[in-house]
Amino acid sequence: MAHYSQSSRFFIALAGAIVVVAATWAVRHPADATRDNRNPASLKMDSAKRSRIDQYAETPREGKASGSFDVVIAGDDGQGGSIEGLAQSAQRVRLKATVTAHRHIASQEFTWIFPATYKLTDGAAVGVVPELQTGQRHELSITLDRGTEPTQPIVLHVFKLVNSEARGQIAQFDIPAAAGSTRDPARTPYEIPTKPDQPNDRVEYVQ
Amino acid sequence: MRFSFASLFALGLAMLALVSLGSCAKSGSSQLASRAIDDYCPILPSRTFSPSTSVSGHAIYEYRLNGNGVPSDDGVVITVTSFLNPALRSYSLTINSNIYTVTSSLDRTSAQQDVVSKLKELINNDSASGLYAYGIAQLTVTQPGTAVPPVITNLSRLTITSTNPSPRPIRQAEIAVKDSSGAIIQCAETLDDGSFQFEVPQGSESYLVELRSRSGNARSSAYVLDNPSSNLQHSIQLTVSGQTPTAGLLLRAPVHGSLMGGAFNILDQILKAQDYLRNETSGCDSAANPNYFAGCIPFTTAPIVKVYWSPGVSPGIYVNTSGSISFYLNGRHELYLQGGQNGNVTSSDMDQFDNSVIIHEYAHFIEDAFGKPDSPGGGHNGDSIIDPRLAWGEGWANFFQAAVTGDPIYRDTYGTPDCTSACAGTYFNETLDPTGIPNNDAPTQGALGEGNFREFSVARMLWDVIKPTGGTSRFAEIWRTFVVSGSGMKAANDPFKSVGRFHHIQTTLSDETTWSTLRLNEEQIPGFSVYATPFTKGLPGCTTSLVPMTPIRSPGDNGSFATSDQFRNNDFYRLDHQGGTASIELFYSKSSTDAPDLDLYLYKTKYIFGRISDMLISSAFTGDGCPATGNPNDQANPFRAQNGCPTKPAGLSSTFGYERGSSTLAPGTYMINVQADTSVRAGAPTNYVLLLNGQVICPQP
Repeated sequence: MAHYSQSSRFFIALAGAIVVVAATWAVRHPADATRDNRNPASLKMDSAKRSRIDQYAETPREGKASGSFDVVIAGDDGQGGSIEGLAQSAQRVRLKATVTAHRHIASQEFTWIFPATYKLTDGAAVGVVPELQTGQRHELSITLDRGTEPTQPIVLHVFKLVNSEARGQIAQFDIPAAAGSTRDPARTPYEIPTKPDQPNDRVEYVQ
Repeated sequence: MRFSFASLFALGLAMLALVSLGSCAKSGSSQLASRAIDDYCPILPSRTFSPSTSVSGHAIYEYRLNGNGVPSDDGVVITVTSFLNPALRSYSLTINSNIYTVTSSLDRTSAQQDVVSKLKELINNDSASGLYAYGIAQLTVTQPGTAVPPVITNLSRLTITSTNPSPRPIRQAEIAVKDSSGAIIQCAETLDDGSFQFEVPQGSESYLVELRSRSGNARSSAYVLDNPSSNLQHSIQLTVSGQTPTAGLLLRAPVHGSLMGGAFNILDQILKAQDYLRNETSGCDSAANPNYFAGCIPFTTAPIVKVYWSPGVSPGIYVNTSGSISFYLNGRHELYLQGGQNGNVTSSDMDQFDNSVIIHEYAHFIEDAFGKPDSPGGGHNGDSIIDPRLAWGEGWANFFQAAVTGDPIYRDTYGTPDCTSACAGTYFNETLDPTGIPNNDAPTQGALGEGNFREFSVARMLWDVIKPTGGTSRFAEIWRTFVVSGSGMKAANDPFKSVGRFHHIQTTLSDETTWSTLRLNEEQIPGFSVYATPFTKGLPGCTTSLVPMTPIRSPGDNGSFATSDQFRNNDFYRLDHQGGTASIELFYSKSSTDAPDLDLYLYKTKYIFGRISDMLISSAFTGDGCPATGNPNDQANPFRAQNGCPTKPAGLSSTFGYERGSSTLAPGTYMINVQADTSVRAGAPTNYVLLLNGQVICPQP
């Protein structure tokens, strides 16, 4: 029997273990033979073309018909950028809303809806979004001081009156709930359980 | 430190165990335990007991008019008159013989809100009254324990302005009766007027009557559940005694509080949709019947659909999406409806009373169960050129809700009248029977085929077929195109179904009515000339085939796939392949002064337009021009031979673009896509030629 150094033994054993792990992984994760069209792809494109696709890939694929414009609210970092959320402890709530036109839209009214106990310290609670061309964006910002009041949703309603009825969009910003607070189980996020008995079932969201 | 072989192998095994554990944990997170759905109440028809005690009553649900309007709660609406004179700021009224009096120190609008607020508090704190009051500027008083409005008299400085509509009966809903151990001892279902009747064993025990948001009979099959993990039905519960008979038991699902009216409205809309299908296709297989169309199969019952809805919950949380969303999952018979946003059931988007949205989503289920849809899903804003498969699916659903409700309006609302600031409005209030140019999805006049790419265009065309005045046919003819054996939407060998396929089937069946005018009105075209176009190759007469394309760059076209005009800037060819190598070449005329830029893609069968993982071939270079005369360092240079410059087919200009790619394909159906990249410019009109494995292909629309 050949003699091996201690380090050689270590690496041989480690390599063996990796082979075993890899083999087991392969057994546990077989190629899905039922999935259609698993063939080598011939994808040739330059970087400019790739960015067209990447840009598209980030577009949400699910959701109901969005109407002629979108409204998205984010926390405002105060330096022109957006932040996903706000610290739960934040007493001062600075928000930035972006209105994006999918087609030409006439000017719209807007109303921020927030608890009466929150104080408006900067920005306008009501006003006008100017006429926007397709693809154009308009930003609205607001700063509220909630002091020690409990967190509640802050809502932005952007609309135009058509036959005395508001036609538009409504968006909501939620300040994170306090740590340790209990949530209604019905409001706890769930994933849709997958169904392994439907191998060809690709989750498709059809609004 | 020394390691033996054994210890090192054991170390390896330990690593394996860790990896396996990790794998299990991951697997567990993606397949959360899902509680099994309760069996439908098993004792049907209801059993009898001897001796027995009878229980009878009535089940009703409140809804909101027009989706987000006043509740149908028999509420009495009261207006406050404000006064500048402080001596006149005392307000009182008598409700069911209870007197309520408040004063206000305010005037004008402030006084109105102050008085409403004070009266609300007074009435709602009077727990013995059985009343519930709500409102901001006006006070509404309801009597949830009864099916009639409260009696209000002796108003001082207050005026009754209106009474809200009455609730609707809860129809065909499951009732389970449980004993003190929780065992089900009796079952029943509500009738069409909401009434129910059953027996319980006579004795001292009490029983829990549970009215559930489910139907599982020949009339309706739908479960309205809370979420896909706990799978619990919503319910209204009351206790009855086995000692004395109970008559007039009222089970009422409210708009306020638990919001259970939402669950039962969803259930009722699905019953309405199934009744519609049954009525409109009844006798459609019988020659003597007015609904008769050869090959039609009447609708009888649908499989059970699971509807997930909970108050305050956006189903986006199940798919990691923020914002409002209601959707149907193809192949799973699961429908998800928006119930609010993170607990907000006042000033958020909710669909439980948006009958258009409920039936629209149910239409996706009906197509899934009876028509084999191919929609890729995805975003759509109701006023743009979209994937024709998506346009068909959405258009059918927009139409179906109008057919069921009898109202050609697609209405999707948000908010309620209960906000402190006005928050109620509509996303859509779109008519499918417009006078003049439609507000949404109006195809360009003369652009035949554009309507195939627009969802509301599809919906309007279908409504024109069945509309009560001026309709050309009946719903049964539309239904026939789904279900007819052998050639219907369900049976057709077509993984790219669009309204073009639908028209193709309609026009080829016997006794068809004439829809040509309806199609022309919406710039729709039957068949496959604008999407999934078949082709020949290698046949006599197919030696060259120049296909014209006139790219455009519309406002908002930023060059991305998301904004690419799928009608004008894209051509789609259906490739039925026997398996093996597919080598595809694209030659196109390329003006040297205003160069267009065509690209070549091959997609899988179930593709999402622009999704890279669905592409089997992409040949997309900015500088694909021949002859190669440009600066190779200039990325925007349109004349750089990226794929070489082989001999061009006859008929193309002396300067041309060239893209090529190949892939080894399994036998199946694929989609070839020729696309004009409009990132920089539309470019001049062009002609192109496609070659498959060296042979010119000739489109056969």
